[in-house]
Amino acid sequence: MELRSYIIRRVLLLIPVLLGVTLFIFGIAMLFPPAQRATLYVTNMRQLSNLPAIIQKYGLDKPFFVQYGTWLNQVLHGNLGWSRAISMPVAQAIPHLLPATLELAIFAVPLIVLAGIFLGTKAATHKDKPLDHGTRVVAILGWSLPSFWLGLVLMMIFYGYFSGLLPPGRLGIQMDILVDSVGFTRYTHINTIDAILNLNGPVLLDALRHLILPVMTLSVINMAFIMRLMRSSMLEALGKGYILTARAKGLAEKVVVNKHARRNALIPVITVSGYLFAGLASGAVITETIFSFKGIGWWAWQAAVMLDIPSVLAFALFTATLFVVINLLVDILYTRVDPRVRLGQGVQ
Amino acid sequence: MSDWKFTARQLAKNPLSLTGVVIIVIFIIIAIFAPLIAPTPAGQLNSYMIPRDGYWAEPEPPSNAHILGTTQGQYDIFYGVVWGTRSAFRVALVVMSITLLIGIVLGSLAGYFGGVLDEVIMRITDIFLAFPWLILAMALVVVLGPGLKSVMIALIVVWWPSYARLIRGDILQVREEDYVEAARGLGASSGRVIIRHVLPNAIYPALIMASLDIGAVVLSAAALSFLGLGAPEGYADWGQMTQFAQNWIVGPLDNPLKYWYAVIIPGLFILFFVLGWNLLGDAFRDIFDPRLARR
Amino acid sequence: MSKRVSKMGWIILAALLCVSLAILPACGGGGGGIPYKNPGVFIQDTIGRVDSLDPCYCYDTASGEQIYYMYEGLLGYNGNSTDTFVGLMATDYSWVNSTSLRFNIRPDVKFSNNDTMTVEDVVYSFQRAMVEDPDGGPVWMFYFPLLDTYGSRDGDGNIVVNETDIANAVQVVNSTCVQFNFVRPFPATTWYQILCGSWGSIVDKAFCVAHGDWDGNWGNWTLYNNPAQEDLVLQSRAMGTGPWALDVWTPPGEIKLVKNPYYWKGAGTVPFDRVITNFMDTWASRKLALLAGDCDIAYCPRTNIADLANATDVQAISGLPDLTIDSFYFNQNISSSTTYAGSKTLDGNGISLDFFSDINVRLGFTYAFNWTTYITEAMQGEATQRGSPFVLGLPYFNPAGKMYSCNLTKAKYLLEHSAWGNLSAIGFKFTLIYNTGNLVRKTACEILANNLFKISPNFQVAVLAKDWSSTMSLIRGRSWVMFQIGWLPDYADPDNYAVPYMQSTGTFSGPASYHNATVDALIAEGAISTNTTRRQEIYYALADAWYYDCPGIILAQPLGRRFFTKYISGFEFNPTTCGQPGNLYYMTKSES
Repeated sequence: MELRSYIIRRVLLLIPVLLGVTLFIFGIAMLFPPAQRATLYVTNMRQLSNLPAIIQKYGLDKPFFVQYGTWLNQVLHGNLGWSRAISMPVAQAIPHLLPATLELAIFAVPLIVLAGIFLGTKAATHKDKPLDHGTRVVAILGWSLPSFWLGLVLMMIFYGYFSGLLPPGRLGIQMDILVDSVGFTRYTHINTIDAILNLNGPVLLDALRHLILPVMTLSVINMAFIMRLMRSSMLEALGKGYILTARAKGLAEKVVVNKHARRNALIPVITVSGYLFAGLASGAVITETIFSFKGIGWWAWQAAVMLDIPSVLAFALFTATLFVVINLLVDILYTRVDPRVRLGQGVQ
Repeated sequence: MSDWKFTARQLAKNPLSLTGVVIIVIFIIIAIFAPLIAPTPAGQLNSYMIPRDGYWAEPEPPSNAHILGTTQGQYDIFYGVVWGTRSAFRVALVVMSITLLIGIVLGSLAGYFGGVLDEVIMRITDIFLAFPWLILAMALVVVLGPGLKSVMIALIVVWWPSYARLIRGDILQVREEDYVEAARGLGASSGRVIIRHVLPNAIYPALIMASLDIGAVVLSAAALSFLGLGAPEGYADWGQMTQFAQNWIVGPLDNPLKYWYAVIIPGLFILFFVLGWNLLGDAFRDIFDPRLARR
Repeated sequence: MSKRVSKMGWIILAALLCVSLAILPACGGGGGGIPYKNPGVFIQDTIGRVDSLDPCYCYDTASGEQIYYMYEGLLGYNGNSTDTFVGLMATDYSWVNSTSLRFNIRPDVKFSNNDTMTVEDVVYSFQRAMVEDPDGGPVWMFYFPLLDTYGSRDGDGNIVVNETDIANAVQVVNSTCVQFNFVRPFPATTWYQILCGSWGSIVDKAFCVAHGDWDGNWGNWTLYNNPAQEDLVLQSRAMGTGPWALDVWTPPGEIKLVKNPYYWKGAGTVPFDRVITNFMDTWASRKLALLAGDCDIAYCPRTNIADLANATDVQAISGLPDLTIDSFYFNQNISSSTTYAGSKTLDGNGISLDFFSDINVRLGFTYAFNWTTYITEAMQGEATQRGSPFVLGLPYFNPAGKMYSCNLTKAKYLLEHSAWGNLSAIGFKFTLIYNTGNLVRKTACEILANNLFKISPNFQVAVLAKDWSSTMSLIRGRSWVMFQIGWLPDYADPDNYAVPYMQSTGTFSGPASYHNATVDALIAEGAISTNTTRRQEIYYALADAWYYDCPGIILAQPLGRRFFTKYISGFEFNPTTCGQPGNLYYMTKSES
């Protein structure tokens, strides 16, 4: 199937997914009685007697499809509503909060993938030897730790014990004042990229310093997955016929492993890396909360707990689009890496 | 029979898998004998609520009265982790078995019959998979009201799509096999073919993934507890106990590990539980690898 | 084997190890003092978030605190007093007659954009608030004293006030004087207290109008009534006369203020060039920040005060009586749709829907509660028991007010002689609810439940957690059996407690169906009485009425704490202040 029509078909498939996701969430929201959903707009106890007026004002007691239709109509006119969770219009909230999450994802994913590939290859080439067992246990240990536990312990060591070495937050006070002043232009609101674009060394270093702990927390936890995947797909690749041939030809083991086996073993890892990026870009709630790196994940959590339906719906739209786009990119990348794969047939 | 013997022998050979089995067996024993190991105080109706010895906030270190110390609010840690084993098994097994059931049914229908049924089921799984699981789980727990039952329902809803897809993929492979063709040729009904021929061969990857995911279930429940959406305070659940500990991870600066018992002990139980199931699942995967010689 | 790759890996690992070992000694170990950082900048790490910067909308303490730093009203509280005042935008005031109050406005005051503050701005500030009057906002506190109504709209959302009412309520007299006209006499101190709130802030008319706000013309004023939060002009902008001005607000985590260069007392008198508030939800992060010197004050939840007990260089100020009270409230007429009353009849498996309408039952429960345990264990000893909603710090507080104490024998007697018969024999069962995450409230429920169980094993009370949103709708729907609720006043006057707790249509007493006609009459009289002797009589009588009617169990008035670094001085406690740091203008940060 031609690449362009394939892409178009996949993008069109996005629409029913978006509709489906938002209908599903709306359905969940409608399970709440109007009085309970009205409490979102209540800022203090005195308004308890006002609930009927609030329900009226926001149309909370109208039938399901009327409310959904109103929302859909607003969205199509560009109005995503007001986010009570962050006191901003929803349409502003996402670009406002996304840079923090993206910054974490941009640094965490390469680290996780590279470390996972390295360790997985090591484990596969030394199968059943102590190195294999060792790396597997270490990786699983990392994955088995509750993320908040790991994060807080790391903070205790590197911020508490080594007084002030690696603080929470995105920037230190002085750098924070600097980036909001006239001398510094904000291009992307991702501090490291902005610092590079502004050729500002101190800000770059400070941003990196604040990234170390959250990225480490995310990496330790997610690395096991990639490592084990790499290990098993590497084992499968090493067992294939052409490897036997390559060895028989007298090629050096290093070449056999790196050039032939690894290339094919990487395919499933690419897929998973895509999902990993999409997952991290949708926000790591716990890491964001602990390290005061408030981004999309934190926002989605607050919105879910506060019953801030407009925010949850917008979040759903964003992540669904993100997943579909990343799936598409991964599938296209697939074809580049493995020439046997044809698009449109049996590719999930 | 000889198959099981072979499996058992393979398990025993590998030190890691043996460790996994031993860990799980220890947990099973703790769960079964919980009322004996940590008896519920007389007059307390709900065994899953940890008994409180006073109300003050600061955790107390291990002592004669409390072997492993107390958490914030004076809940006995020993009682909590022992009965928490029961909670963990309950949550993990309920979630996993229902997820597998739904996944098997829907995956089989999609994989075996194909066509429109397949498309519809796959689009539905697309919708679920396109959404970050934590937010979906949170939304469901908020709707259903916080508590372990809601957590279980939320995790089932979040997990079944991956299993449906997995089983569908396996069935797609298996249904082209010769013996399936043969059965169909002999006139067996679709149901019979699915249940007797296709499923037993397609189900292994799903079972392996399930054993690996049991650990993930417990971790997800702990994550929801940290965010305040899990079991209520004082419930014997490892995740809930680690949530209690979050304010005490960093003690006073001259003694930062002062409350180590409140923080580390529930965390260790989670860690070993997940580790055990992971090692077991890894071992199963290695054993059921069709390329391994079976004699 | 890919030896070269593995060798590289090990070399990198070894290098990292060496580097970290080299850095280690350079960093301080634990237990050192707090370093002095960021001179001239005051940094607060706390929980919550700012919702809105608009004085006519804001009703939460986090937003109110920021408004106090940026704006000033006509009056401010005098130091730590809650009923004496200093003039801020006003220089003095006088009553022309019993219903007209004049303020002389301070000359030569500038907003932070160098606009001069005039009487026009003062009148505009109040009229704007009354014109816009957002739903659920604080502007009812202007309406009730001035116009004897509770807002500009009725229950169905129709505007019931007309422009002449508002225009006459506050008007310009001459270039230095404004006048408030009340439709009937209103207690002066209460009005001054209302003026001290964040809603009394004086805003810059030119600034507001330039950004699309109401321009003062009465022709189309109704268009500006009840704006949605997204349409508020001052939602995320601020222009005030206070010591600091808005620099950057980055929701949800941070708000930064800079010194107001045109501050009327002199920019040189402002102690901090910047005031930064960080919102961090995790206690561990806040604590570590305080100990690393990265913030000057950190909000510490009650359960963790032991963490900082012996920390070096931390200044702990304790024993501050907060103007708040926590209590149980009995629902005397439970809705039949409730699921928390068991079988909903007194058959041993539930309670009847009017169970708490019997005074003996209420008294019996009250005697069953153990305040000593609650205060020493659940509240870490930092609370004082009170006998009525009228707490210390309010005018007309009765230090000799009657209180109950735990007496299980008496409780047993009362419950066995209730209007429904011998409850020990009949038995009852119901569920107590508390907000998820609130361990103190959970403990209070457990204390009560355990004591009732001690009296008789037939008294079975379960304790259940519910999230906040269900809490509100359950109270309103009268489904709760006994709810636990706290109250934070708008201004330091007992009327602000009497209405929600004791008046028939009050926020708590209403859904609980507590009605007492005498009490209602006393409350109505006290709200507008200008006779201080009479008011004292009234509020003493109301405290006694609470004691005898026992509509709920008053738990305790908490004592608050502040944790500063040792470099901060000048903190003065005033229970009406929003936020922890207090009046920052009078504080300093210095190394010595």
